Amino acid sequence: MAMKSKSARKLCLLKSKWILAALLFSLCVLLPYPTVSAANTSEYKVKAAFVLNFALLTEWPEQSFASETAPIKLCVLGDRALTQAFESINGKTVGKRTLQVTTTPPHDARSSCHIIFFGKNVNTKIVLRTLTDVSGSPVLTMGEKNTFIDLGGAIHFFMEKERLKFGVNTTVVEEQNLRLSSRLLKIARLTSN
Amino acid sequence: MFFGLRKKSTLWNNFNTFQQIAVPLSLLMISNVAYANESDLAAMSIEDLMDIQVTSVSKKPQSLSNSAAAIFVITEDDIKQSASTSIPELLRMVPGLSVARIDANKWAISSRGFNSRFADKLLVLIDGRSVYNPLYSGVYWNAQDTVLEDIERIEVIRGPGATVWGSNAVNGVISIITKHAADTLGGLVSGGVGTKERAFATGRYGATIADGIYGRFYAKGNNRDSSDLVSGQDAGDAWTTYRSGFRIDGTLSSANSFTVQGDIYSNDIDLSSVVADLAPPYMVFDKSGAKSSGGNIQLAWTRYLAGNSELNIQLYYDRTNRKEIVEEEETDTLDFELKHHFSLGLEHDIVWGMHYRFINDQLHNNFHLTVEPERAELNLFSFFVQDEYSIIDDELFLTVGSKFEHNDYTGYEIQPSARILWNPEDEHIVWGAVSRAVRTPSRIEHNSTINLLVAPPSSQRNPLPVPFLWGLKGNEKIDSQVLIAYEAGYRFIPTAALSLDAAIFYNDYDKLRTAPAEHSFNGLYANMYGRFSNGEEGDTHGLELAVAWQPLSSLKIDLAYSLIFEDLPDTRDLVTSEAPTNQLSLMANWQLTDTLAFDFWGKYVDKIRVLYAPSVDYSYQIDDYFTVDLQVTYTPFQDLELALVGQNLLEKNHEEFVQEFYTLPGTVARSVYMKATYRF
Repeated sequence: MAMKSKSARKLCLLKSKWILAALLFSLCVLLPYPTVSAANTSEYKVKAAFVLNFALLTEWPEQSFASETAPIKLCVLGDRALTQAFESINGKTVGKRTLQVTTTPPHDARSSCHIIFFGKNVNTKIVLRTLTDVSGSPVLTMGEKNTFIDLGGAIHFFMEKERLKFGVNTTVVEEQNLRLSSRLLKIARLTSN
Repeated sequence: MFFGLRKKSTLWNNFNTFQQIAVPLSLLMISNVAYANESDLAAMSIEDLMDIQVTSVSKKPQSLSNSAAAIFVITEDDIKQSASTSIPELLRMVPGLSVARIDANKWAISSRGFNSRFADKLLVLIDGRSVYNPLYSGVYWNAQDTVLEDIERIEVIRGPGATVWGSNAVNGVISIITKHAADTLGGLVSGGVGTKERAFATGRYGATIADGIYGRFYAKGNNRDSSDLVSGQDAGDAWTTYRSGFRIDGTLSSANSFTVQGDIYSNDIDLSSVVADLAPPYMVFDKSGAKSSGGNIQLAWTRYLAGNSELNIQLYYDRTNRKEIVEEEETDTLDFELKHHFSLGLEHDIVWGMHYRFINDQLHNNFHLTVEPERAELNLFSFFVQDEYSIIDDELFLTVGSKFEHNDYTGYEIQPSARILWNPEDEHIVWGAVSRAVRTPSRIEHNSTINLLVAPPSSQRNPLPVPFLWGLKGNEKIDSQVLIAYEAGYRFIPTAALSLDAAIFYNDYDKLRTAPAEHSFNGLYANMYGRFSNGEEGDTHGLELAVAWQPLSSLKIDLAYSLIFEDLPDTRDLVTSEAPTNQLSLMANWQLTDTLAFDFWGKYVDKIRVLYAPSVDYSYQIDDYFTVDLQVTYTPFQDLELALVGQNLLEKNHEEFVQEFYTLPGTVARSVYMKATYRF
């Protein structure tokens, strides 16, 4: 084709450069490369530390626990990076209680979780279904999805200027008979229905 | 489960569970804190935690996917960074797929070889609705679209998916999954202008309809300019498309959820076709164009049962109309599917399902295409069962299953597979699979007459004193084409910022479709028909590599490489085209500042020989090519985004493919467009 022969030389030149660049790139990729990821689970470790604080600063109705020393059950739903990070706070002391972390899907969220944390990638259908299930029951729900508060969740984590922040839907918290410490409410972005 | 996914998820959106990770566009972040190491975090007060600086790293989902199949996921970010304006163009980033643009309104897309405008070994689903055409088992790509911003992800499996999805899922499955309506609350308007993308606009609005029920509605339109033929003339292939649709998702109680969705579309397509005629000059240059329109409505219901088991029912109706000089067709499809997923003990994760599809296909026969009977009612029944057996907890999984299907042409078909996945350490995943898949005959292959060309008397291709008619003919005895596929893969995920996914395959085909010539003379003209038969066997093998690397928090690089070797009889005999031996796609996204981003996309595709009936040796050589797309995105404030995009920038135009018949060789041109997107 005439069209091709015209630009053939230019093409060849460009082509070889491009292939060289691609090869160099592949080399870089294939060489073991210490990347920024040295602390790759940290985001979730920070979130886990947040959740530990929430456990301390939230008051559940007495009937939520079998005894004064019964553990606080935290259910974590999400991918492996998330659940692994949360396993690091399993067994931590929260006042007289300990924190018991479960990362398998609960059969009955209402009776098997005091706190549920929904990772960003949890299927929206599952989030909605679980939120419906625990609606009005004393289960503190936390999530990462942007729409989490719109979906009826209580606490939403988000990023602002490279800092982790959270929003609280006070209506949902009240309906669930939970009391959040004023310390929490002071630093949260508050919404109500 | 279906593909040995240990974290219960795959293309099958409906069975996603809590542990779902098929969408893990997870934001892993890094704490850059000098003053807090990780072990101190748990002891810190909430006020101090809020002061910790975290930087985000996004992770490619396939690196997390524990599926025993060659899977690639196109994420929401990938879609945005690709600057693509259509679904076919997006697929160029997937290793193992061949995407070639024939002209402004046609694409040839296939997985692991056998590419053609009429490629038939790929299954394409949009929210679980099959979009292939029963006439020839291929996809009219210009009729498949949606709001690209509303796509949650596109999952592409290379290799057979027949055990779960059935016939046609021979060399791959593409599943386009749109977002849950609760994830698209609020409004979005976007629009733009360009040299080839002449004008386009999209509007979408999502809202809460009632407690727990969410909905969205959209409308969009695209007007695209024509391309140039290789000869330099205008190809006369401009097109305009309009589309509208809705989706409603609801949760009735903790045990039930449902989805209702539907779309309508209308395409007005310019075509310049060269079609056969028995009277001199023995060809007609037709510019009557094509009209295609259609719609669908779909209902899905999920019931959550005790013990994390799920029951899913899906019902859809789809109507497709198409009218052009060589084909006029109306198709109604009614499809019902039931799936049940449950655990048996701790080791077995079982899914089984039943499926029924009814197709009413009405053709309007003409000289170019005659199909008997003109109107056909086709029934397809199937049953499948698959068990994921956890041999060593969290480490070794075996998935065995089979589809049992009945179709009107070849009766019962069995499509089993066995897959094994070994995850010795978090960073390493190894998998292997053996599967059988079939491609059942299409209506065209079963009973049709296609008249493609007439060589004038005493011409170069016809020494006879009478016209010579060349075409293809169906065969009622044609059987299914059979594939036994052997696959293996390795995933290496050393860090959150780097993942490598490699797959190798050996595909052994039997009873491949051929079209041996039959000659006859009817007194007025000679004719030669290629009669569809199961005449050949052959094999293909190759390698696919996907690397996702984030060297800096502001820089992301994605590489896809495909290599394929074909040990097949002459692809002309198979009525298909050669696969490009080497293909490379390199995408880079650089977030310069909070408001400015830069995207690069380089693509290389090897030379191919394409079947082309008008040529004397029935073939046409396409040179290798490489192209570069660039995008600059400026976000002056949070809800407004402005993009300037240049596509195929390195050359004025290049060739990618040529349709087997009817059209003249065309080109893909350099183009530029601007786009604004506003969310509210």
